[in-house]
Amino acid sequence: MLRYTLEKFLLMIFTLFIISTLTFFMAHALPGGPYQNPEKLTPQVKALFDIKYGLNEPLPIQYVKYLENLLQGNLGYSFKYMNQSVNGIIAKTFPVSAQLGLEALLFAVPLGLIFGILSALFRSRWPDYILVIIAVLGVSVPNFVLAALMQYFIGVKLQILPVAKWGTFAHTIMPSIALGIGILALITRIMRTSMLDVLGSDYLRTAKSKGLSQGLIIWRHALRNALLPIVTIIGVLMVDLITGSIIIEQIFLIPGMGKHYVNSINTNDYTLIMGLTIFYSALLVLAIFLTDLLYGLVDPRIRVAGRKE
Amino acid sequence: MASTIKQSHSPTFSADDFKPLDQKLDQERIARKSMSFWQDVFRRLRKNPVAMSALVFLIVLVMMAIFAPILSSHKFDDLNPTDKNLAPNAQYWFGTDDFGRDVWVRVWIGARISLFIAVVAALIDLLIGVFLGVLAGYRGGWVDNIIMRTIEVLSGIPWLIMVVLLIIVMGSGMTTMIIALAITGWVGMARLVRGQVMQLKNYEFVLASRTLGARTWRIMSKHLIPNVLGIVIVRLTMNIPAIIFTEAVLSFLGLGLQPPLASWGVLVNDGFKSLRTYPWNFWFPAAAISLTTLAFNLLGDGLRDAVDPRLRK
Repeated sequence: MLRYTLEKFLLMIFTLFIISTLTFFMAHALPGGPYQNPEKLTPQVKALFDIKYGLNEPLPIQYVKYLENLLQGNLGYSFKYMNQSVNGIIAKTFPVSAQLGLEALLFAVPLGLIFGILSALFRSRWPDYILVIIAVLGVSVPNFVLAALMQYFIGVKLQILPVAKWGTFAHTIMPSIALGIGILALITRIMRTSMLDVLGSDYLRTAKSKGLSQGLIIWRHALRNALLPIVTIIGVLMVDLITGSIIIEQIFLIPGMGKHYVNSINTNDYTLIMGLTIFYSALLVLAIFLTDLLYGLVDPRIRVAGRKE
Repeated sequence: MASTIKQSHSPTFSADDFKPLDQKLDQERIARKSMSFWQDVFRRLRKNPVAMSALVFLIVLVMMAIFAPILSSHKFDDLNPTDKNLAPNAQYWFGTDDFGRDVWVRVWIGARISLFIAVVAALIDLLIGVFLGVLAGYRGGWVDNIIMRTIEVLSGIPWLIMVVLLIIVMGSGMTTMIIALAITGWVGMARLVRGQVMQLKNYEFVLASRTLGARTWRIMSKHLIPNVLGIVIVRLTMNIPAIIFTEAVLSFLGLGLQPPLASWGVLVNDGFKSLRTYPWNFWFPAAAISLTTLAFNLLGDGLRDAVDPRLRK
């Protein structure tokens, strides 16, 4: 297990290194400089700014300095927001996005699990059909369409919940639902398949023939084994949350990381784009690392076989 | 038999006894015409009403995308300053937008562009993914190592972020969008194919082929690729709506196609801005995206069951 963990950890570090390098060179290949109106800057002022942001040095030296800073967890200063560090912006906006993501997970994961289990237990009867339809719709309707639907009908027409912005709990309800529905549908589908697999297995028949009660069979034998595949999608969930939050925050005008990411794209804010890209990737890579660890823990075959898929 | 031999010490045989038995060759013949794998798949798919309706819907959609703009008297970029923001009516079936452009025609032009981008990008994904997946799965060793490490690194970057970065660097447009989507999209396909090939390559028919002296590329093209094709097609069907969705998101973030070109993403984005006042500008393209995604997903589910009936749940 130790070797397995170490291997996965090194892979995580390596991946992060590659991603930072890619991001650095891509950011410097961006068309148009970082300054908003470069023609208005006198050469002297531009030179001063270049020195301030370290743009006067040759690219390899900039790259080494960038890596040094990165190792110390320093993502540099934003170009657009005067005298704000990228770290500061992340520290300010990440809690907002994290709250949104957590609320979405809190509603989507348990409900998805329950839906999946019910759907499998009621296989080919009406509860199953209804839940499968919900799951297919949840996967198919894009989250921005759902967000707009809710905004229009619940926010504007019925005026039950605030249309947009961030603040009270009421503000968080619609964005969390819009963000969570896709995850709910995904988990329902996976849980249903996995539960059906387990329900058809030999050891479940054994448990039944021992005379265990239906409830005990499902709770102790079926559920625990059926939950295994859910572990593998932690990484997928993280991707869903990240991409979802970028869109949802834009629609509901939520001052989170996703909104700032879109802003940084539109304003050519190099350092902020780079910093947020690396931060997002770090989140995802960490999630993948955790998935590997958890999977190794719950399924001994994985850690013995190493990285065989 | 034994008793007959005992009774008659001098057996007499007639010439008839040595005539070959009247073999009923017909009994052994397979009466039904043998079916190819894809005929079999389609036979099963036809019995699935949900998947068939999805297929019919998609065919109609493609026909509409091709013919509706031609048949309509309006052009997708015709500006009619007098007919701005009209609700759906007899002349403009889906209403008009901010510039007085006919939303009906724009939705179908959007279908052309969105479907084109999605299908081309998905096909490129398929080619790269199948090639690298088969290579990694069959060759193993360092080839596999390099490809898998690349995949692991790539899947460490959230795909949307990656596509966004690529588009910022290359500039927005249809070609760059397809390239950006293709660069990020092959990873899942390659993983899937690699897993399948690693199982397949241990089967006897591969061993037999190798024993008979078949070269690697022949084994790949004649034995491995045809055997993964079913599952690959299913994946392709599921990838197309994912790409349509990504394209829409990119337009939403302001990185999509430039006007007057209209993909579904551009239309949804334009419509969203006037959602409160002229909601039909949003609802029609949004419904188009949602229904198309739904149809592709349902068809994909049906195809998966048809390709491998054991998976049916």
